[in-house]
Amino acid sequence: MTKVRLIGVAAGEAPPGWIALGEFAALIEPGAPGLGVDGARRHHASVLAASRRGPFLPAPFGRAWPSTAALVAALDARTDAFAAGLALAADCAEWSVRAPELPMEASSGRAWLRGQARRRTTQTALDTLGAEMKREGVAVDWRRPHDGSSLALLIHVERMASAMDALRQRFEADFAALPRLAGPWPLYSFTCLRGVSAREAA
Amino acid sequence: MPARPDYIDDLDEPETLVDLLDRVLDIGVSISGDLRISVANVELLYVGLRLVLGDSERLLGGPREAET
Repeated sequence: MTKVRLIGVAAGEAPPGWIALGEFAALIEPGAPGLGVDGARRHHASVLAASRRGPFLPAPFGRAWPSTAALVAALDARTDAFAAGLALAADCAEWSVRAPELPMEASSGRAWLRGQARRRTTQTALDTLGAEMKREGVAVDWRRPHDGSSLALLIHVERMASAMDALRQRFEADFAALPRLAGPWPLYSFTCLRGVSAREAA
Repeated sequence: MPARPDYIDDLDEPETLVDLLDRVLDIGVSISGDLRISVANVELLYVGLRLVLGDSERLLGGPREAET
């Protein structure tokens, strides 16, 4: 039996190579995920190609299912969230906001503890910034991805330029430095396809 | 519907690649690690990077997960 990987979900009829999910369609690829950076690059390339057709909900990288039927069963439990997720994908894009990296100290236990304390302070400040950006309407939503020194902001595509200006100003006021902004990204941090597993189909 | 954004497809810069890995990995398939990226012995950045470890079965949404 061939394992399959989920690339993401779009609305409408399934094009060739996709699978139908009622009003939606899922792009899948055969085989287990290739681990590591190259696998992540290939996943991202497939997401970008699918996104050129229209709004697309990207799946996280690194998941495979034992069969297409198992994947369809897992996705069937989530279809209620697809319409809202795709509406977000149509209107918004994700941006990465990264705090300046702290200079390395000489390696010692005490230096490591100081570094961890600074990292927690940065994380708290980023959380505050994300919440304020949402409250002020600059961002539609925010998350902090795995890495503590960055923030994921969901920005409306028609307000992207003004949002970046507001973000830079606020970041500079809070951190006395300019952020490293990277984007726009597909909605990796905001997709409802995070956490989909066969457990839901059991 | 707004115009489609021109998503990032150039991952040549290490920082951009880290940004991709940071958001494309789902919870539970990575562990935290630290990585220094340097060129010609000049340190360019120090980042917390999630390294994909473990065997492929741990990445499967397969029967073992369904049994838990």
